[in-house]
Amino acid sequence: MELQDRGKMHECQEKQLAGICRKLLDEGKGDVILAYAGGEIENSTIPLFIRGCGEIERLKYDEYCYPNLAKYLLENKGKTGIVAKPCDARAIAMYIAENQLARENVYIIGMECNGMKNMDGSLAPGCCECSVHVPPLFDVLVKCNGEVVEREQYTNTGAPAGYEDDAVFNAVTGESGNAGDDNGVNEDKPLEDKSLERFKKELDKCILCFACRQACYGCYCPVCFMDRTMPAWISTDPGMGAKMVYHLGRAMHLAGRCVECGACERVCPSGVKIRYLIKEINSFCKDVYGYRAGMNPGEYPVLAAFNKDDKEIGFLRSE
Amino acid sequence: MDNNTGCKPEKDTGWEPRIVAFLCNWCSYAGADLAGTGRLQYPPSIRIIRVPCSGRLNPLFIIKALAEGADGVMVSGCHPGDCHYLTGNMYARRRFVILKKLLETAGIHPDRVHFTWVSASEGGRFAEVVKEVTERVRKLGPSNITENTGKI
Repeated sequence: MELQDRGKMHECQEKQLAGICRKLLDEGKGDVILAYAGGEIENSTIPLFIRGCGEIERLKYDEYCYPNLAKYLLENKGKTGIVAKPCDARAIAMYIAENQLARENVYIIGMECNGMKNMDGSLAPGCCECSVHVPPLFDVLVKCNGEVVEREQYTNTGAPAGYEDDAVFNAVTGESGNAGDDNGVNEDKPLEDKSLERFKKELDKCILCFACRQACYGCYCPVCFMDRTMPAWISTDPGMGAKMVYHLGRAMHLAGRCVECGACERVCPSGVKIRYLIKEINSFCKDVYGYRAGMNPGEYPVLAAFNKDDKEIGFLRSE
Repeated sequence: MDNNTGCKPEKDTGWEPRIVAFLCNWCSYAGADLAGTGRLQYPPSIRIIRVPCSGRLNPLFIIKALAEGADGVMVSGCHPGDCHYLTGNMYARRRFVILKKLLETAGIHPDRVHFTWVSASEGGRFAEVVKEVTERVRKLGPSNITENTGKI
């Protein structure tokens, strides 16, 4: 898609969004709506909490709406509306699967998305290899051309509204025709370098500021293992060992849960590109266990379930 | 170490692998005990940590052991279906498969971390497993995982 078309597409979506927000507030379907507003810096956006019609004026939706808003849902009790790109919607689906959020307490305004941009105009980290353009979970969908579709209309089944409806998932998660075409992405691209040198090279840059953890939708533990002191997982010396424990530990905690929003890479002040670890695990989970994070809120996360016939890949003397 | 262990000592450097072994209390730990009472010889390269179940094992234990300089890690639990807590090793199995894949992706050699099942009656198998793990880790040499790259 040409850049000009993209701009126009977001303009259409923004117009519809304002109308939907107004309607939501009028009908009382949400006490607060999580959306985007323009940031102080050019080409940036900040989260916007819409509580009244006055705030709708500040609403903005353009190609720089890369922040993942899902994490704010956990702090909001009561009914909340949220503007959700596919990665945000997948994060919400994971929250529901992990019992962090009740489906009825969140009204999801799904946005069809063809990728967001960094401030410098390049494609944002998570978007480069994203193949999910339609949110797998929504109450109302705003398409790229500005068309607004209710969930019931989308499935065309007339079934009661609810994510239990498989038709929604097949319709949404089935290999949609435009998957990955206009971004030139290839999700199953084999990894070029899996050496310890590469891993250490990335770790060298890390300053253990934990910005990636704070930005990640999946890191919502009240006390992170890195902050524990009795006993401490790492020494206060930020050597290779400490960084390794942090990054491998976090990768393990996100194994099969990462929704590939790319927030971790975007917020990193020193440009650590460690997401390739989790990406590899994600495609592994897809191949071996047929599990993709956030595609079905009714499904247990891959590490919270088991199958009697699970393969023992790499086990010693496995029969 | 004598020749009965089935493992040749490293004559040049005197280096012997240090392997952390997490053993399930109900199967593998008893299996190790049986290997001992049966006078089966195996290399003295493992340091055993007893855990209630292989499902008790936080993947961080393994990561931490490697980061602290262990040359290898070995985890052994009950065979699937024999878990004392019914499903502990089932959850552990997925966890281990994914952890192993993760370590491989990070560039840590797959032979540094081993998972296996040993029941309480398999003293012979336990000795064999330890021999095999030790041999594989020995081939890799001392761990270079946490060596700094020279930059600070």
